[in-house]
Amino acid sequence: MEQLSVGHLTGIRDLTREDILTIFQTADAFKQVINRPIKKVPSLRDITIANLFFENSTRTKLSFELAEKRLSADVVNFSASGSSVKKGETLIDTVNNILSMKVDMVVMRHPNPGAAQFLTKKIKAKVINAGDGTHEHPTQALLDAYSIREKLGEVAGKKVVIVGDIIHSRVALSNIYALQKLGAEVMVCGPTTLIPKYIGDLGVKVSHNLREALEWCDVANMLRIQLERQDIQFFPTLREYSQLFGLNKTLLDSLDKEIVVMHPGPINRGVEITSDVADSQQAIILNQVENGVAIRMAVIYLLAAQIERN
Amino acid sequence: MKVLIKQVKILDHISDYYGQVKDINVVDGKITHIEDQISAEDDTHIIQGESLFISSGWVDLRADFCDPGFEHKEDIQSGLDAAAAGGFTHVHNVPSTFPVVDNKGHIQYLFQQAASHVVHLHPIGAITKELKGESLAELYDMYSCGVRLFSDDQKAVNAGIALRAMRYIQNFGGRIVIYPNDRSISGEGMVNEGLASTRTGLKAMPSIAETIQIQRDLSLLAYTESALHFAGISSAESVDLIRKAKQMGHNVTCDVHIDNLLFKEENLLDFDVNYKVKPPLRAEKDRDALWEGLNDGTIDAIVSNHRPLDTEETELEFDHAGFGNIHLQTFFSTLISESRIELAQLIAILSHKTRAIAGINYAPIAIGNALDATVFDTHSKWFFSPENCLSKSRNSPFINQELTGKIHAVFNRGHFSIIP
Repeated sequence: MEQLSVGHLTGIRDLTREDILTIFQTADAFKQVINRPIKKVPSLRDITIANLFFENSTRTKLSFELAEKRLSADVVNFSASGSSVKKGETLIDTVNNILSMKVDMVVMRHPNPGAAQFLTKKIKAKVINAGDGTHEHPTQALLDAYSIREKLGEVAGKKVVIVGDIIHSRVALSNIYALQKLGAEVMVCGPTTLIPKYIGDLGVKVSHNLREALEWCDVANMLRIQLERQDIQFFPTLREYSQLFGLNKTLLDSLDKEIVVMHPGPINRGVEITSDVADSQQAIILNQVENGVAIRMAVIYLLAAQIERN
Repeated sequence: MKVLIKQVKILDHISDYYGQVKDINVVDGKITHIEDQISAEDDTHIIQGESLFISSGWVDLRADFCDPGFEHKEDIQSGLDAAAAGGFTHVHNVPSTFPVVDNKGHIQYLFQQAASHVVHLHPIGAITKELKGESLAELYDMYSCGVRLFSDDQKAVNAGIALRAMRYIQNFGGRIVIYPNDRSISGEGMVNEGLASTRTGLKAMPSIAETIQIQRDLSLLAYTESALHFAGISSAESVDLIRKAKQMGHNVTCDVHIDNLLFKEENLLDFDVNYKVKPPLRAEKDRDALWEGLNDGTIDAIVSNHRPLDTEETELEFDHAGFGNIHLQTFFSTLISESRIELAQLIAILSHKTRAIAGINYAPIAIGNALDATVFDTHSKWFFSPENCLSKSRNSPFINQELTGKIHAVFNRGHFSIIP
């Protein structure tokens, strides 16, 4: 079996194109498994995984937990919201607890960029980044690219626009890396205050006009507006945001081609996209959710393969 | 106490012996002989080595000795020991201790603590009481004790306070030191806006936050005709602004942190907290402009901005880690490995140019004069380890690395210190 070139999954930046393809192939197999009557394999019976969520999450946490259980791993969950713990203390304390609990793998979501890298330097367990602040969210980017591949047959050569709050988005950065490594063209689109000034240095196109961006693309990934990550005001109201950058059915239908619509969830219905767009044939939002489990099974399985087991 | 320095090249620009290789005999801190060859007496300590240099003692304009208030990170003794090992004979200490150094009593405490050390400690006085940015501290009282630089360190000084402080010191002298950073723009930022912020997701501290305040303070300087020093400039635009202000004849000086000369924003991509500094590490074009600014005289000084941090401030997520690192002991070795200017010019900056900003007198290397000097070489290798680190803190990007260029001894105030 193919091995990953990395010992942890902290970001897409560290992965090679071959790593991503290996993950996709493995996910293909697991996607079959989770569509069988018995949706479970015994591969990781001897592996213990800790899910550490220092930030609220419903979907990602569920998706990881499901992936772990379908691989037959033992799972422990730890959740602590940022406000209830003193800055800095929890991570290092938790790290020491993990060391004593002999956990093999850690899946962590954390509000601070670089937290996953920090963890890899402190513990022996395998680390999977389930989102670190405004830095990366690698499994989301993998499942997004996987879903594009599933829908359009290939990622290479496709034009993908990422719309919304790019500056506060870990999904955007991971998506840019993943799509570029797979040969897609990437554009970011959103209000000028929510697009990093130097994002063009990453080799992406930049647009501040939604219609123009949609006319250019094959796939539109509509990001969730992250109001909770904005410490200062970047736009006046959600109402104004949706007037300028919201995708509705009229706009979608007025395009001269059928584009694919994605959303990492959870959707602010009526803000990024309207309900009729979310529920339309062009949206693959629920496929993304299903693929999320397969992709996470693949990542966990491939990293667990590197653990020495008797 | 007799010391003989053998075959040392004199790099003191105002000495008659400049550029010559000599033996220098020192008795009780004073130079008694400078000759081609001097034979040592029995009770003389001999300093010798291959390709030694001697220059006027080096001056650091900004270090944090955390004393009083945070002595577990650094104190006056450990900070000055690290400074001596780094070749400095004068160090300026920031006022952002607890309590804040904003009055004569605190100044006197610092002088007492440092009285017998070979390195001369120069406290920087706070501009405003308790660094609150509200009312002026007793600047004249502190000036009378010997303080020449006034600064609220990295805290904000609003335009009104800056204006009044610049005018007020004209009654007696000294220089206002301002760290240019408009907080309404930089906010909670911690890395350069550009590659670092885009690739790490860390909050950005754009260089315009620096340049907009430089423009503001240069306007205040033109209005008051006072004396102003900018602490830690980091961007190419800042160098241009100050170059033009100097051409217009304003009494403005500035310094650059050694971090911004050695490193660039790429160093931050792995979230190493030793590179979390203020101002942030910027792009290569900025680093080029900073070296060019040193070369053409726009930038007057290179400072260590030595900021000890304990593990409580470094062993955590990047967002929560403190700003700064320690540099005093490794300053020269790391600087010459990256230096883009001639050694003689670099030494002139570390010694005479920086002295001029701080108003520190100096007698040239000549017979009969007291010796205030640094003896060093540029080729010896040494290993910087947690064990030989003299600072109480270990937050250096160079821990466990081999460095090139070594300090052999420092002389000042009638004392000398041999660096092992």
